Amino acid sequence: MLTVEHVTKKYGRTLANDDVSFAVEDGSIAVLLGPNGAGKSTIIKCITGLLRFDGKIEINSQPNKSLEAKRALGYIPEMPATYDLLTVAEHLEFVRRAYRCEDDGRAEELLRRFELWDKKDKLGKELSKGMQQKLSIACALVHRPTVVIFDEPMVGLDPHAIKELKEMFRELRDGGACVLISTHMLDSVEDYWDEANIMVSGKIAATKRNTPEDGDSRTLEQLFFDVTEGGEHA
Amino acid sequence: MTALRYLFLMRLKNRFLQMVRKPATFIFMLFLAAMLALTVVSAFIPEMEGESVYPEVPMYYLTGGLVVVYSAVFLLVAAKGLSGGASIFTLSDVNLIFTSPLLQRSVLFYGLVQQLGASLLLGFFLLFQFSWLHQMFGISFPQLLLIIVGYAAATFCGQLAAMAMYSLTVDSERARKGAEFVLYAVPSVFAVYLLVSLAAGGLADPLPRLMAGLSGPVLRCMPVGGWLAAFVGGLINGEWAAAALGLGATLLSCAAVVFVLVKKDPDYYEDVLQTAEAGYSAILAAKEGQLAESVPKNVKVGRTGLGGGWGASAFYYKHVLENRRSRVFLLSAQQLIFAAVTVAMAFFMRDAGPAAVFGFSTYMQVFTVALGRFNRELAKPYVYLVPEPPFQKLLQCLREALPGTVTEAVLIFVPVGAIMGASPLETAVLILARVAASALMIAANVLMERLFSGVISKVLSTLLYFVLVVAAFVPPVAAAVLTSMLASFDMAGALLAFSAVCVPEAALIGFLCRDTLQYAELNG
Repeated sequence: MLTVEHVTKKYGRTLANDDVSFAVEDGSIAVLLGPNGAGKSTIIKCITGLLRFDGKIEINSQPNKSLEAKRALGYIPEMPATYDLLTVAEHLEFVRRAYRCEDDGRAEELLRRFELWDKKDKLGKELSKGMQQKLSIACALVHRPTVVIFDEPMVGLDPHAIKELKEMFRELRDGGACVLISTHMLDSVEDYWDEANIMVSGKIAATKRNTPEDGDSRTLEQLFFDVTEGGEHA
Repeated sequence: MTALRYLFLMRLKNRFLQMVRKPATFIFMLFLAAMLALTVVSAFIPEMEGESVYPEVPMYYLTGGLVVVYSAVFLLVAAKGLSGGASIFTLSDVNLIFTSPLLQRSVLFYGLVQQLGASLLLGFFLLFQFSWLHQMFGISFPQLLLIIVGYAAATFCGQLAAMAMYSLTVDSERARKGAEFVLYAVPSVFAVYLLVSLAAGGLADPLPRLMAGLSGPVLRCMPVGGWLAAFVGGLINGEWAAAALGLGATLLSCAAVVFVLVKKDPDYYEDVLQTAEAGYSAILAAKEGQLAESVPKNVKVGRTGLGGGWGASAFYYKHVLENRRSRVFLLSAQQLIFAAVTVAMAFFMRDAGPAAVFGFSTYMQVFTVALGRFNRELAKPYVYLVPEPPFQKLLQCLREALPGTVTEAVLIFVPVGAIMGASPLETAVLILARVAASALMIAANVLMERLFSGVISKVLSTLLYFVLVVAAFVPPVAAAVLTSMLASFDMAGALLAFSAVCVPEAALIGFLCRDTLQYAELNG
């Protein structure tokens, strides 16, 4: 489970996140939506422990900076994080060793799934941006995290990889993981989200649940435009 | 006013305004000016104190040195033409100028003029060499400017040659290999001639005969470094005919290359596009705080797998693997060059003693200190995400620098000790002190990352880096000075005191910076 409570983040005088609070339950997919500059990437980086902040963030009830929390976390950054001089397979071996995980075949499974197995001996620098992104996703999942954060994961992926990734989101949810996806591509999240948080100007401006019990009858797209263009807060 | 002239003048004007408007840049400029003034004044101190102003070293040493430096610069820059090519254009030029209805020759001329200015700036660091050049060779300031012009010309000619080679060989591997052969064969012929003539003269006085050979008429015929050395050395020594011949040969070769570029393949745009894009990517990466990885064009993958590592030590094994693939074995090419320069300087500083060479080498180390892949690791998220104690990760990231540091110390101070006539014990102490200084330098770099890497201005961060390094070395230098003054210790004793302060200070800084890898934000 992921809980974010009253998180405020400033860059100098710029307020990037203003008292942000939300939670993502185990076995659910939450999406973080918002226009460019809304503060999505900043809150993601606070959650992953890359930035300092005021407030409280817990991963599986542990402070996000603790080693236990880091062990449970998988993070896919917006820019693919690959090394030029490691082969595809070595990327996964490196992450597996760094996280002290024995080789249980998970790396091969992920590479086959993302159609990277035939490229396992190719260097990071030889991969296209889309392939680097797929490798970055595989690296984040090889240690079987229970809290997985995706920052704009669809950018640069081909249709097959997008389909595979969406399938992966559902599998992670069904396996009991909590998944948080930050994106500004509304149509890419339409069919699998459980909860949506819409950010505007560093704040959570609206929250919507994908259940019949949710009182708001508007579609996610309608709500998004009402909030971001009309200044509505829900 | 033509569009290209307008563009050139506006860029020049805006660059100047940017420099004046940014306080950090302005302060840095003032600092550099002050340092330059200090360098110039310190050069004249012996004369002001009534000491001999006669040059200590014969002038042909300088000409010989210029042949080596100019040739090395020319070859290093020109060799880029064999891989990715060297472009005198930016990606903005490519996108805006190449697509506009301007004459391609005018565009080429614009690029050349712009590159000439950039080449002159590259020689700026030579200004700070005035003090020792003046004391050794009696060089005046205008003569130093002449040396800088020669350096800039070597860079410019190298760029031009690289562009021509790339343009002429891009479609044919055979042509590329031919160009590579010619590029290295020509200086090799001159080097062989030099070695043969040295060997013929026996073993007596190798250094004076080497420098005499380098500054002799044959080596001064070597393209392009020899020609430029003939030009600059000729003007300094009053050898007008040699100067005129050197200048003439350089200008003719440049004109010939431009002629070939324009006539052989007037559509050179395609050839510079790739390098302009590569250059732009490097600039973009630098803006995003990522260090450009100097990866060989053709990486030999070899054996795969990390071969070890568990937890934080996985970083160390990854770095070893990456170093093997990037063909960095213990020392980088830059470290090897600086080591060679230090050993060469030992010849000139024999009278000053080993401690002076140690001081010189430590000064040079400010520019070459190797943190290995630590800085590159900071740009990726893994080093922060991996669930290991931050201090463990820091130590494992710096671990690969240790063998190189010891190797470098041995490589420098065994020959320096031999040249200086130091005893084995003194040589061992020099090596120990070098390793200790390296440890402190690495610690100072980590401290720099911890405290100031968020500083966006490169100029300000460079200034802060120098201040930090100087401050870090105050305690060990003070310990060395006090020990030699109070206890009347010799050089070895003073260097031992220096080392005895360096090591714990480095350890303390490392400990205080143990949370560097706690947040990416701490590293900018």
